[in-house]
Amino acid sequence: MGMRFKELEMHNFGPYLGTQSLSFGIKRPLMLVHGPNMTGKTSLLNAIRWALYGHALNRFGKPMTLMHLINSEAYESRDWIMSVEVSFEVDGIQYNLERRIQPKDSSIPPRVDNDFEVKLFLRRDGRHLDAGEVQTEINRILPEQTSRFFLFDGELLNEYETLLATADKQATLIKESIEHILGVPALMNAIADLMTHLRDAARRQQNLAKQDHKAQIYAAEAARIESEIATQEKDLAELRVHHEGLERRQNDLDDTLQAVAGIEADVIRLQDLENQVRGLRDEQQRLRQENRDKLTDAWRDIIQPKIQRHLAILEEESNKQINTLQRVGQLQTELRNIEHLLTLGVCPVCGQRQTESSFPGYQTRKNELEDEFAGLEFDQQRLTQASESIRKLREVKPSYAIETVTNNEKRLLRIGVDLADLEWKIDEINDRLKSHDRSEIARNRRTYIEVTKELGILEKAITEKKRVIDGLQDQASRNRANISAVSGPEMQRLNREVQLCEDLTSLFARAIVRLRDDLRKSVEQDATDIFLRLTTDKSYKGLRINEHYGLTIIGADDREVEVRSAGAEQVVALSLIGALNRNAIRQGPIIMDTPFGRLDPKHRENILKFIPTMAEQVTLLVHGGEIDRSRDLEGIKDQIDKEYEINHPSSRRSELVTVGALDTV
Amino acid sequence: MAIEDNVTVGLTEETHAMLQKMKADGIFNEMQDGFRFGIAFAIARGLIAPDSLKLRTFLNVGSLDKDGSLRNLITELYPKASGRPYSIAERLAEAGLAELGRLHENDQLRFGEIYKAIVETT
Amino acid sequence: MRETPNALKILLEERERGLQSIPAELVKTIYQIEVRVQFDEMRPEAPQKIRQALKIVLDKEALEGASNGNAF
Repeated sequence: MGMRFKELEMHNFGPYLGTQSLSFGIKRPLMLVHGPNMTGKTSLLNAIRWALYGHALNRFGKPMTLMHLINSEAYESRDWIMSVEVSFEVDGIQYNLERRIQPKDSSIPPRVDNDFEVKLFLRRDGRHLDAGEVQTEINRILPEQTSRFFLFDGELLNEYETLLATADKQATLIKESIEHILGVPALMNAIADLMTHLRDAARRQQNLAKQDHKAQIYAAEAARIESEIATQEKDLAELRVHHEGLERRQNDLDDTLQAVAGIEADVIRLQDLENQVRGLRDEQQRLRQENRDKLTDAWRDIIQPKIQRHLAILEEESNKQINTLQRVGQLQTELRNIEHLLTLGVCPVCGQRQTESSFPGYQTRKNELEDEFAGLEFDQQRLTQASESIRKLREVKPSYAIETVTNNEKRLLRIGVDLADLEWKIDEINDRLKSHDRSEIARNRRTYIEVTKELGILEKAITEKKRVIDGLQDQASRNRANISAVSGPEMQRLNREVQLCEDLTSLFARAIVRLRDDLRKSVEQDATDIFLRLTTDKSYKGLRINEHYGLTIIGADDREVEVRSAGAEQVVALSLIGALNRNAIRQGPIIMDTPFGRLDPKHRENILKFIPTMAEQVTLLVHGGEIDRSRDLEGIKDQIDKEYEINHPSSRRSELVTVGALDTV
Repeated sequence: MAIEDNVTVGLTEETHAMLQKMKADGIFNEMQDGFRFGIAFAIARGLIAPDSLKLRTFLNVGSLDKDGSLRNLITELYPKASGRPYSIAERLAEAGLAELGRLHENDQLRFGEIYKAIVETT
Repeated sequence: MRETPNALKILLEERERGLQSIPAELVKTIYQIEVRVQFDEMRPEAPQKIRQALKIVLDKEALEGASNGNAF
């Protein structure tokens, strides 16, 4: 038997404008809804959650307000009614649940959740339940605590395992949820009820014993012990309340401190960055000043190329004149010598007599020289001028300042870039820091340490108190035995009653220990079976379970596998879900949102084959990239009853559309 | 011609404003540093402003050219100046600073690059 | 096919280990009472029903003349 969903109808819920509905798999186990992310798959999950428990969760697992849930287009067109209707079947009984909200005053637009009134209707086999009974009935069928095991978000599967691996508050809650599914509470409740009854019977015993003189002493003693136990239990209850309160405070502080863990590091970094900026700005100022100073003389360097060009021309002219002058000198000397020779017949240089026959040669030479002489033009003025110009131009000497300026400019460019980068980083850090008050952080840290210390002390006190109470219970039990020794049929019956309660309490206590153990082993065995079917790594031997229902993978050498891929995490979590479902008192339907997010094709294939066997009814909400309809669904198409697609005509609206059977696609 | 040379030199209103801005932006220590640089820049690049511009004088030639080397330089490079080197100096400064001012306005004033360009093209 | 661990089965097995003085029927009854209401926030019915079940057993024993501590 078990439970199955039948139909879901939503009106103005989340992205679904107007009325949208779908049917679950009845003839066959599987129903699929395809849709891209952010178009409404998670809203389907939330619709069911909201209908059943009045809570819908956002991406971060936090509750959403009604104002956020109601479709925004509907709201703007003044349609302020939102509802979800779910029909389901439990052990053959037909249920129809509707949760609806409407404005308290239909003429004013509701602005906060309080402006709405919530109505809840539940029909069982056609008959309406009283308003007060509805939520109780729902919790009886599908308790909210256990909803995380049948309405779950595939994306969170990864975190699931990490949660179970630690022993903190969250893990304890999950462990309690698991035990809930597996029926452990029934036994614990039985013990509590039996102990209450035991105390009542013991009291009646005492009253009866008061009538017998011998037993009076024991009765008095019993009364004293009981009064003492009552006082101690009251103290214990107070200690527990105090402890709970402190634990909550500690968790809050822990959350706050976690959030600001990075702050101190930021402060140090900020100081370092600011120092760097100061250093660079100083250098910037220094270089800029140096450049200004150098530019006073840099004009001389700028002008050098032009000056050099002019100097080149002037020097050429100057050299030309000097060469001409030199040649003039040479010619004059030689002409004089020839004149002398021709006139006196003696060489002026060596003093020797020259023969008359050499005279024509000399004469010719003399003519040549005189011709050359006539052609030479020496301009003294031009030479003087050129020299003067050269002198003046050379007055403007290079200063080489321009080289320094150039290098400084390069460095300044670099500094500009570095400063911009540093300033951007500083802004980032300041943004982070400005929302935090540093003295408050220090205070929180101190308080956290104090609270932790106090918790330690409290825990010791609680343990001690429990020990004292146990001691007193033992005393009470021994005392009862004494009372029982007093005979009489009425007393005998009372004795028997007390005995039964004590024995039953023992029995149930023993049973709890064994049940937890057996259940864990059974869940471990089932989870291992499933895991080995799903995993693609042949070296894995199985799974091992710890006392918090956390699972570790056992590898080839019988050792725990430490590092697990995201895909392995999902597979382990799915194995746990499947195992829990098999061991649960009542089998429930399963609705999974993006179960294949992080899995490779081979894992996906294994899981697709396994899913229809996980429960009587399995609904998958998948996005396009996860499943290739033509390829992945081929192997299980005969298990699929219905298929839907989410259309997204606008950013604020989605629609559910039936998809034809796989064969006709 | 018997026109005498300038005793003071200046720039157009617009170019004067640009030079003031460059001083305010920390490029030059003094206006005369810029003026001198403008002259050198114009000489190097072969720029000169026309004779007809209306200039507002603000600098004494004695402060500009203490040792007279600037005057000698201009006389040498511009022989047709015919005895009015400071008048030429004014026109050179106007042309040079107009160009430098424009570069500065567009954030493109890099002396290193200016020098490199001058060396390469002379 | 392996069976899921069953709380009732475990209770009855543990009873065999020295707690046979408890009538098996009583164990079954109490267990079923608790299971039916285990998920309710308030379970006002359970203690009363348990009280009734105990009364029935005690009455039965009185009728059959059973005495303290006899095994059943």
